[in-house]
Amino acid sequence: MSVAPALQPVPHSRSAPQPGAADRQRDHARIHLPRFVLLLLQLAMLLAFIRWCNIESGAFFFICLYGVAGFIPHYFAPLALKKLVMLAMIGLSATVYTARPVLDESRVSLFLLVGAGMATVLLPALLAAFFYKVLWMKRAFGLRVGLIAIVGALLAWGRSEAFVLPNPYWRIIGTLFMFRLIAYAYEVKIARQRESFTDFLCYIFMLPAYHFPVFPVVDYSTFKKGWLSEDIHATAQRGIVMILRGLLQLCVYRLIYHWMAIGPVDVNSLWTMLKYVFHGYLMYVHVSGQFHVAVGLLHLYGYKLPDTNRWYFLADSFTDYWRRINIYWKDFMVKVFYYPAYFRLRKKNEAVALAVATAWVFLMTTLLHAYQTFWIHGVFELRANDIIFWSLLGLLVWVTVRREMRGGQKKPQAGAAGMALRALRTLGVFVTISVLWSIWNCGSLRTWLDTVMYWR
Amino acid sequence: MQPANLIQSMLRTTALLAALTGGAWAWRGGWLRATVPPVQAVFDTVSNTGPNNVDLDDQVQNYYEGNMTVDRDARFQPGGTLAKLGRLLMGRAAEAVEESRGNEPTEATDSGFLLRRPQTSVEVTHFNVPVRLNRWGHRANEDYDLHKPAGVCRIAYIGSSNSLGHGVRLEESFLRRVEARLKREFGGKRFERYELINISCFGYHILERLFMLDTEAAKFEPDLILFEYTYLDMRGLAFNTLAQRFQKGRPLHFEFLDHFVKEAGLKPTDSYEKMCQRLTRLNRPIVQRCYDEIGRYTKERMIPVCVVGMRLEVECVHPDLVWQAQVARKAGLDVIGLFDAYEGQPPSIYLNPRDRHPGPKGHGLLADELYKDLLADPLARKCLFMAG
Repeated sequence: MSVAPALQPVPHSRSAPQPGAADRQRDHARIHLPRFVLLLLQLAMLLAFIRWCNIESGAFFFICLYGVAGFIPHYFAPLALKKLVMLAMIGLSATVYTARPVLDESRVSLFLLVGAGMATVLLPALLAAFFYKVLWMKRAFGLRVGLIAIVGALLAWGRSEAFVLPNPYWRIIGTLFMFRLIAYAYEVKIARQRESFTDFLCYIFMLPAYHFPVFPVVDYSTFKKGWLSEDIHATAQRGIVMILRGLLQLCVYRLIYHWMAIGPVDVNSLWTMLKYVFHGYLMYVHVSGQFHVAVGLLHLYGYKLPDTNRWYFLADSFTDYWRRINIYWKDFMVKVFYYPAYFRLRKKNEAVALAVATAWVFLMTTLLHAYQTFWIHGVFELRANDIIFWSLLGLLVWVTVRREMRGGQKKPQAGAAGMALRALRTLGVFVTISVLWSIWNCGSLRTWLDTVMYWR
Repeated sequence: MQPANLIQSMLRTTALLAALTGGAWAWRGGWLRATVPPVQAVFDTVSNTGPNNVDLDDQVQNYYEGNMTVDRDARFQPGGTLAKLGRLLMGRAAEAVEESRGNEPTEATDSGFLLRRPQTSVEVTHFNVPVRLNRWGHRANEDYDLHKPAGVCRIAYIGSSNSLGHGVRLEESFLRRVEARLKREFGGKRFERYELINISCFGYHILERLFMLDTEAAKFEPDLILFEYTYLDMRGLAFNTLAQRFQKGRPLHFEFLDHFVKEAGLKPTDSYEKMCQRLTRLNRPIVQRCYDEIGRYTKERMIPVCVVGMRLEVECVHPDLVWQAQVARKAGLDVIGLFDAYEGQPPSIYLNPRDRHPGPKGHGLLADELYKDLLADPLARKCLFMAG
């Protein structure tokens, strides 16, 4: 069996916890005060930088502050209580965070304030308990998923009407459940033993998820197995480096946002046209920056997780691009959609299996992006430009995968010629992806054509 | 990770963080401005939470930008939510749904120059605050007559969402505060009382405001008209409505707009964005002509008009704001510039840093500045305070 390397997720084990895992975790959670102080010093400087430079927003600073504040009790808590301490911090931060906009409102009583905040925690917690109960029922998997789909449909109706709860609360419910519930349901389907409710809650209620409507689709088994898989100080340090990389990307984003971003109406020269075509893809550093910060914060709580994005501007082929950009999304799609389709079809014809599975992945990517927008904005919208973008990207990835499978992984050419060729390929991929992104983010294909042909 | 490598990584990152935070601290202290201006400019831009021109013009956003920058800091009324929940529990689900949807204070029109007009005699919840529009479509609790009562000084203010008080209660809006202060400090002197008629509407730019000046303001017999402008009047959004009117075959009302549409070479087959592109290139001549029209209006109708420059951004006074003030003066108009209102203020004065509508504190600053400028401006002083 040869599965295209571009479409392979990060491997993980689905085996039962190894004996002695708790002892290893206890070792890894051992307190070392000088290292803790150094970590705290770095975190304090990160917070100061975020605050002084107004990175993102006040709410962003708040969630980072809470993430760092929660790190302290979590670090010192005994192993058996660490996850509960983390959940308590999440509950407290969510309560205050969602009630934050009303802190200026002098007429609001403390009772209403706390009540409104707690609704943000209690309602999703009740939903989480319900979903957990249903997923682990001793019934056919299809029946369990069907029941969740019915409740999901009711919630979707509530979201579309912003029923009773204001839009921000619906967005939080969407962010918490929209993808991670799917990923978790897949794990339930293939699980050999029941997962704990605490692990489920920690997975659904990741601290930074309350702030980031667009959140990386963290894989459940990677998340669970990553917890205290190495020394907490090393994991936390890795997290700090990730947060720093994220913040630098967010700074770059601001520069692009103010200095380069341009709308179709303002395109009236070659320079403005080039800015228009390239700025959209470059602004992806906003997503990448936030993902780095979100996953970096999770590292503070002992969760060692893979990179979310890796030098995607330097991709030298379309499969390389698919491997580097939003890696968690790629892994989620490959695991939940690609592999089931591919393995079902490959016995008949491997080439057809590859084509159909790839098409299936990109079709689901198109629909799930619209699904994400629905939960964030309350409106399901699928535009022609969305379909054009994902179809063209899927076609490019498929063509590249087929070429790689036929020709095998060629060794890169050595020397200056090799470097020049690689640079040209990277430039070609960058330009192509930028053009595709500018089409995707334009109102319509006609608008895009009118914009880039500004002289007409 | 080996302990030695871990310590090395920690120390390296600590050093890098110290350099970054040191730089940020130096920037905040203003020490970079004199020594390394480019670095100062980078920090200024990195810390600027305000919207760029794409967002200000409501142009189509990037997929991720549209999802990631959704308004998360909107004002939330827990009382409103509990009330809705109460109705739901009492079996009044339809009402709860209707309340959830909220109401629009404006409605689309089928004909005429205005593409949208304010509703009349309604109370809606817009951005979580109650907005009551009287029988004239003005945001007010009172239903005043067209005819100005004796002993009343009437000021007509023609503005947009900022002056309408987007996102704030009526009593928090700067125009209401100015009216209250005028009543308190000058009522019973030259005039018994002061009325500030707010002829503002969400989404109105210079062309719509000019139309309201030409068709609405004089009906209320004002002693003074304040015509607001912002730097957004130079941006694409101000001319998008002109493109829409052309597309829909709506009357342009002003002859000079017909001329500019011809000069831009608009064709009915052009896409909307192409039309906006062409019109935006003529923004300066169009805006200049608008001020000429205001100058002509005030001479023909013998109603004094003061142009009020509304500063929207805390970072600086936008150059287009200054340019418009110069053009207005050349057209023979008095200019009141609220340019100092936000000087030195943090972005927290906004409801939401990304859309630049002021919150209650911002409205307080605007009210103080406008009141002070009305007292200082010769034309306003003559109309409002001086005897005879």
